[in-house]
Amino acid sequence: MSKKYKPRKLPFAYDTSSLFLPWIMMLMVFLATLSLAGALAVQNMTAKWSSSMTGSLTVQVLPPKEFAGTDMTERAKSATMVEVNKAVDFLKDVRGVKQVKVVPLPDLQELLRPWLGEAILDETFPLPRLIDVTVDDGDDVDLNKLKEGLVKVAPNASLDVHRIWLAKLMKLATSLNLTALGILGLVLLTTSFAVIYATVTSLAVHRPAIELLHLIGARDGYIASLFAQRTITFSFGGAIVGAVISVPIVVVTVLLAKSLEVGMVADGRLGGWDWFYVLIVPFVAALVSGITAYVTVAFKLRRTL
Amino acid sequence: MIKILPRQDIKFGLGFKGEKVLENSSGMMNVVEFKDVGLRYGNGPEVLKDITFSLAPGSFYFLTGESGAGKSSLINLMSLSLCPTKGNLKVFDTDVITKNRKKFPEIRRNIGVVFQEFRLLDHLSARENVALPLRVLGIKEVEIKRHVRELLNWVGLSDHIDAKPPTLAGGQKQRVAIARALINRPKLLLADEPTGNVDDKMAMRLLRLFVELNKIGTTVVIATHNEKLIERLGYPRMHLADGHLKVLPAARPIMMGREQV
Repeated sequence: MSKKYKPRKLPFAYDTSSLFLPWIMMLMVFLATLSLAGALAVQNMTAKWSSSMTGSLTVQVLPPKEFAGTDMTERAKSATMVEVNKAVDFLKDVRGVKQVKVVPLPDLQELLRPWLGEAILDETFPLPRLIDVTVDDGDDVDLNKLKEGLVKVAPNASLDVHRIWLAKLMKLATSLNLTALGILGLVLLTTSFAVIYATVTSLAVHRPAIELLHLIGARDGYIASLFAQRTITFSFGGAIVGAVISVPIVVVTVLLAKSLEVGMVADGRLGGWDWFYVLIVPFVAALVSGITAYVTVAFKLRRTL
Repeated sequence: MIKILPRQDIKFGLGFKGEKVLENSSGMMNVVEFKDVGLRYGNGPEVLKDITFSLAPGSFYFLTGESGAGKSSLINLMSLSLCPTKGNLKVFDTDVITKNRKKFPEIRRNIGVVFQEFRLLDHLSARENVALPLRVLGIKEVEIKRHVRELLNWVGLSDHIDAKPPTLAGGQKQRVAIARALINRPKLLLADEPTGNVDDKMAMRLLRLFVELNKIGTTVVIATHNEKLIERLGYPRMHLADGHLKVLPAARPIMMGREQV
């Protein structure tokens, strides 16, 4: 008696490409997931830096020189505050300046406490005063003119432009981002080449089956779709394994960055959409390999009878 | 036992999908038309020379000739697995030399071929092998299951439905190949030594299937060396010798052959 009807099988038997594809896909998805996560994290970092540096300047006012090397006496404090007020008045009149705010002394002490310790941070410790300046659009303000004018009214004031060093950092981050995206592109390209190679090999191996399918009236598209189906099946298995290995690495790295609590590194977090992009990598990889296989077979069969 | 539907009941050619029926004999187009066809492989000698013949719908021919005479090549030309090196070739009134190859699948779906070397896919069961032409046509699985079982029962392979070709004997493989060629009720059936590996009893049973198909309109060409079979059936023959083709009349009246079957 015949056995229970079995599910439909593809007319192509297993060949070496059946073994090769899952392995290559596993490796490629592993690399693609890591590079995509890296690119997204760096992108988030630069976005945050970029928004925080836009329109932000800091003016630092040191105690006058005659008080240099001494404790912060009341005289020194008031002399410093005179310069601070002059600087504030000057800054408020500058075109494009939106807000000028003197950073309160306790806030400054709070900022320095982790480095200098409780003991020396008393009232007499000579601290420079900081003024936070918000401008409408950083580019509209001539920083050099602002600096010159500031020094004229308050000789001990100096302008700390975040933009200068952040811009350098941004350059580095952008190049890192581009490198990660480049690696992702290379991984995609390599995957496509690997799939093309596997498909061409497979076409040669299954030539008799393809000839038979042609002889019984199969169109090129039908054969190509069978190959695509087969490639997706093999690729997806490897891709899932690649994702299972790489996603925990991304999770651990993100958690480590988060635990550092150091502003800039912690900015490289992944949001909801970023996780979505990372998690769809194996599906996209399998789909891309299927499409590549389809196109390769359709192209190759054009020349057959 | 398989039920061969009368010609008017089957949707001619496929048995599943309605399509244009060829006009009838007197003014009807030929199924195959060769005009001065020549064939050579690469730079080798001409295997077939100036072959000119035509097959009318519903005709039945034996194709004979010594080994290497070009029988398989002729069958390959008719099944569109080879292209002639010269001459004109029409299959179902389509000029296959000038026609875009995109049209070939439509033509091939109306041709059933039994290959001498069977050409079964070893990793598929007998059922899956026979089902292939129907899958290509996009027939529903329920239909496929029913038709395949019916046909495999008829060729005596009901106990080997799930067997894979490497586990089957030569004759059993041949019957699977025949079932695959017949499953979509082709308009043209080309068989290369279809009874070469079966006993006389099974050979006659298989030929009876071909004759039944022929009765409902299928054009049949059987390449064989079996003179006994040719005499018994009494259909005309096409004989190949030195690359040339001669059409010889039936050895006996056709009806006599049919009665014997």
